[in-house]
Amino acid sequence: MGRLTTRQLPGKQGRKKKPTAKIGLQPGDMLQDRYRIVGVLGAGGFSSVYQARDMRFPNVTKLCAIKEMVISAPDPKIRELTIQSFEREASMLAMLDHPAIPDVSDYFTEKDRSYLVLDLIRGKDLDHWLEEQNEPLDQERALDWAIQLCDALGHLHQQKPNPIVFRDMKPSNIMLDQHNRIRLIDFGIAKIFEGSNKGTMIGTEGYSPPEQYRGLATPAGDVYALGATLHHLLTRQDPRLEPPFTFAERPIRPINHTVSPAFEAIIMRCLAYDPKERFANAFELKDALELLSNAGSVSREVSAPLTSKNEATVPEAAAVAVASSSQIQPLWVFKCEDEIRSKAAVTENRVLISVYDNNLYAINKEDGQFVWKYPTADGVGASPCVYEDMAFIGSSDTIMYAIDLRTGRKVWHYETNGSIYSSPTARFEHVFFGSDDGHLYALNVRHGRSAWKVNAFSAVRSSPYVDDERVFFGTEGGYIYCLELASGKTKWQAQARRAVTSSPTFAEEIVFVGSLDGTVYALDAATGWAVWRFRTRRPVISSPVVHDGVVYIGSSDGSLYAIDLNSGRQLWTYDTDGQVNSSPAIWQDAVYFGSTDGYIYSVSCKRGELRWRFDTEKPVISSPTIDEGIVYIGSTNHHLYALPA
Amino acid sequence: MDKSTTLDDPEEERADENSELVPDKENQTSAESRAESEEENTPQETTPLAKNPFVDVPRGEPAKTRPIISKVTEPLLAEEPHMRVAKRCHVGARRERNEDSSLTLVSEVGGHFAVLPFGLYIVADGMGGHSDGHVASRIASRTAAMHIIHNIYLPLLEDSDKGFKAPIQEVLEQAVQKANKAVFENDPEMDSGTTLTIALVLGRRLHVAHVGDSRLYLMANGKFEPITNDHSLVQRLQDVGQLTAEEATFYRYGHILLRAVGQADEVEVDTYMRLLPKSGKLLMCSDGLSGFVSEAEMRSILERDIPLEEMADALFRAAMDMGGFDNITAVLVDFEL
Repeated sequence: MGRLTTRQLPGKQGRKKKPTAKIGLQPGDMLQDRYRIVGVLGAGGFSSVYQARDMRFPNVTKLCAIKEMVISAPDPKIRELTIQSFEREASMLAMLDHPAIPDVSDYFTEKDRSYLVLDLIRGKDLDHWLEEQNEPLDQERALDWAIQLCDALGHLHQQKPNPIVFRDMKPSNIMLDQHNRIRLIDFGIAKIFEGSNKGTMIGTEGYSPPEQYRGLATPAGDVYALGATLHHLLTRQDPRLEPPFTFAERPIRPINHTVSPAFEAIIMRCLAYDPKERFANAFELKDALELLSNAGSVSREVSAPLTSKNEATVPEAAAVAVASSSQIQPLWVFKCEDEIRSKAAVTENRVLISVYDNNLYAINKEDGQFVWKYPTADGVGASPCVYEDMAFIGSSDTIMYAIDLRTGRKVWHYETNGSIYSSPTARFEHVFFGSDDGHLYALNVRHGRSAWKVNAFSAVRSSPYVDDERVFFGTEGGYIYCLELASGKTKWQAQARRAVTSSPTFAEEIVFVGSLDGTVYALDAATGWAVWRFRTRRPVISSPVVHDGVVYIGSSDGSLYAIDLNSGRQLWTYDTDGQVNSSPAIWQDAVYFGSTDGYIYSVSCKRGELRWRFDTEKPVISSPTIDEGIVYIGSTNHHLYALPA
Repeated sequence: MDKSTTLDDPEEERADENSELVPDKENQTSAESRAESEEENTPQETTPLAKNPFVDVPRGEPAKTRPIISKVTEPLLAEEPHMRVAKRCHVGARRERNEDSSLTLVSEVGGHFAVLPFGLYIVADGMGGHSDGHVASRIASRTAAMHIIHNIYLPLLEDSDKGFKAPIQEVLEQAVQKANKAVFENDPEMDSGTTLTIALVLGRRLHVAHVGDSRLYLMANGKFEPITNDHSLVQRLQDVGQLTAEEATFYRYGHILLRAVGQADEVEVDTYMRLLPKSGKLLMCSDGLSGFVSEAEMRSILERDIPLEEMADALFRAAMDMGGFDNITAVLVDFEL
C-alpha cells in the first residue's frame, strides 16, 4: 500500500474509481434460510446493500433491503467487540418509529459479515435527483424537504438515554420515495466496521463537520451535514469537489435567486466551524425553518429585487441604500468652459487642472476660487505635473509649457511635432513626456533644454514612469519601453497586442500597465519579460495603482479590478454601468475612481464594497487625485469637485 | 505613486540660483553653457553616482554615451551570482520503494552579456493505493521540467527581443496542468497521483507553482519562512481552527491530500512569486522530512555554519532518526544573486 491517499472522487469527467471490495453475495444466495438475494443495490469499501426477497412469505413477493458489513478486524477480540456494538446499534434502530426512517426488521451475523434487514424504499436518492435536474432546487421545496429531514433527525436526536447521531447525512443517503416524501436510507452503523484503516476517511468528505475528523459525532454534526446537503442542493456545487469547510466562502444567493437572506443565514449557521455556534440539534433547526416557512411570502418579497442584475455584488447592492450620493457633499465645485478629462495636480495651496477649453487652471485649494489660468492654443487632454515652483502641461497644440506656479506665467516652452496627450513626469530636474510625433522627451526643468529625445516609432500618449535608473512608458504602436534614465538608451521593449495608452506604474521590480488589447501586464523591470498578465473583457485605458500588494486598475468593460500582485489573480471586481477609463487612486483603505456612467466611486480596498458614490450626471473620465483626505476629480460636465474621501 | 515628489537631492538647493530662467527655446544655447558651468562649480560633481543621473554629465560629451550604472566595472560586486544545490532523495528506512522524485537544473552563463541566473527545482511525492506512485512523480516532474525548459530556458538562451514570450506564471501553471494530464492519462483508474512543487529562480525573482503537501521554505535575513501552503486535510482543519499545530503532528489523517496532480483532467494550481533577497537558502522537501522533523529543527540545521552537503545530510539524518517512515526528499539551494 502506498502511503498517501487522496480523496477518491469521481473526476470532473465523471469517471469513477472501481469499487475495491469484492461483492460477497450473488443472486440466488440465501441468508438465514430466509432471505434470497435478488440483486445488488450498492457496494462500497466496507458494506454492500442487496435487494432480497423474504421467503417467510412464500406466496407473495415481499422485498427488503439487506445491508452487509464486512468485519475486517483480524483480532478475534476486536471482532467480538465489533459484533457486540453492531448488535447494540441494530436493536436501537429496530426500536425507532418514524415515517422517514426505514424499519429494521432483523439483524444477524454470519461468518465475517453482519447484516441488517430493512424496508425496501422505492424511489430515487437525491444524488440521482441532482443529476437529473438542470435547475437548482427552489427555496419552497428545499424548506419542505429540510423540515422533513429535521423531523427524522430530530427523532434520532431525542432518543434516550443517548441521542442517536446519523453521522452520514448527504444527498445519496436521502431518498425521495414514490409519494415525493423524504426518507433516510443509511445509518452510520457501518462506521463500526471501518476501524482505523489507514488511508480511509470517516464520514463523507465534503459534508462532514470538521469535528467529525477528530472522532466527535454529535447532533450538531448532523446539523452541519444537513446544512452542507442543503447548500449542495441549492447551489449545485458539489462539496466533494470543493476544498472542505468552504461553504461560508460560497454564498448561496448569488447562484440561487429563490433563496431569501433569512434562509441563507439559517443554512450558514448550520455550517459554522464551531459546533457551539450551530443549532444544537435538528429540532432547534426545524423550529427556525418552520418560522421561515410560515413567513414564506414575506421572505420571497425580500429576495425579489436581487434577481435583477449584478448578482456577484450583493453586498454593494445593500450598501448603496446606505450611502447614497446625497450624503456626499462637495466641499467646493469649480466650473470651467469645457470637459475635464485629466487628473488634477495638487500643491500646498493650489489645485491645477487642465481642461478642453485650452486652459490650465490654478484654483485655490481651500475654497475652490480661481487664481489664474494659462491658455494654450488648443484643447488640453493631458494632466499637469508640478515640480517645485513650476507646473508643466502639454497641449494638443504640440507644445510643452513650463508655467510659474505663483504667477501663472510661462517660463519656457518646447515645441514637438505632434499633439501632446502624454502627461509629463518630472524628476531629477527633468521633465519626461511623449508626443504624437512618436518621441519621448527629457527636458531640463529650468530652461527646457533637451537632455535627450528617443524615437519610439509611434505616438506616445502614456505618461512615463521614472525610477532611479529607468524610464518606462507605452506607445500607441503597442510597445512598452524601458529606457536608461541618463542616456535614453533602450534597455528593453515588450510588445502588447494593441496600443498602450495606459501609464505604467512600478512596484517590487515589476512594471504594471494596461493595454487596449484588454490585458493588464506585469513585466519584470530588469528584462521586460511578463511575469503574468490579466485579461479583462475590453480595452484597458486606465492606469494601474499598486497598494499593499494589490494592483487596482479599471477597464472599459465597466469594472474596476483588484489583482493580487504576486499571483496575478483577481481578488475582486467592482462593476459599474459605464467604462472605467479613469485611473484609480488610493486613500487609506479605499480606492477612488470615475466611470462613464457618471459616478465617482469610493470602494473598500479589501473587498471591493461600495462606500459611497457621487453622481455627476456626465461621464467621468478624469482620474482622482487625493490629498489630505480630499478627492479632487473632474467630470465631462465641466466641473471640478473637491469631495471628502 | 507621487510623481512630483522631489528627492532629497543637493542639486535642488541650486534651484534659487537658477531662478532667472531663459523662457524660450531660441535662447537655449546660452542657457546651456551657463547651466553647465554652474554645474562644474558645485560640490555635487565630486559625489560619485549621485541620485540624479543627469548631474555630472561631462561637458561636450553627449549624455547618450554615458552609462550611469555600469554593473560590469562596478568593483563592489566581488562575487558572481550563483546557486549551489545539495539534495537527498532517499527511500527512507521503512518503504520498499522511493515514490519521491526530484529534479534540479541550474544554469550559469557568465561573461559581459551574462544570461539571467536560472534555477529550476522540482519535488514530487507520488502516491496511490496499489499502483505506481513512483511513476506518477516521475512523469509529473519530468513533464513539468520539459515544459519550463522549452518555454523559459530556451527562449532565455535565444536572447532575442523578437517574438512573444509567455508570461512566466502562465508557463508554470501550464507545466503543472501538463504534468497533471500526463499522470491522469497514464493511470485511468485514477488510483495514483503526486504532489508537485516547482520553484523557479529567474534573476532575482522566485516563481512557485504548487499542488499538494510538499513544501518550500525560504531562509534569509534570519527568517525561516514557509512559502507554500499544504493542500491537506490537516492544514484545512488547522485553518478553520479545529486542530492545533501540535495535534496536527500526530493526526491520524495526516496523509490525506485535498489536491493532487493526476486525479482529474484539471487541477487547481497555486502560483506565487516574490523578489528574493540578495542571498539566502531555499529548502524544498517532501513530507517524509517535514512530516517528521519540526520546522524549528529544520531551521536550526539551516542556521549551522557547515557546508551545504553536510546540511543536506543533517536534514536527511534528522528524518531517519525519527524512524524514516517515509521517502525523504530535501533539495537545498544556497543562492547569491
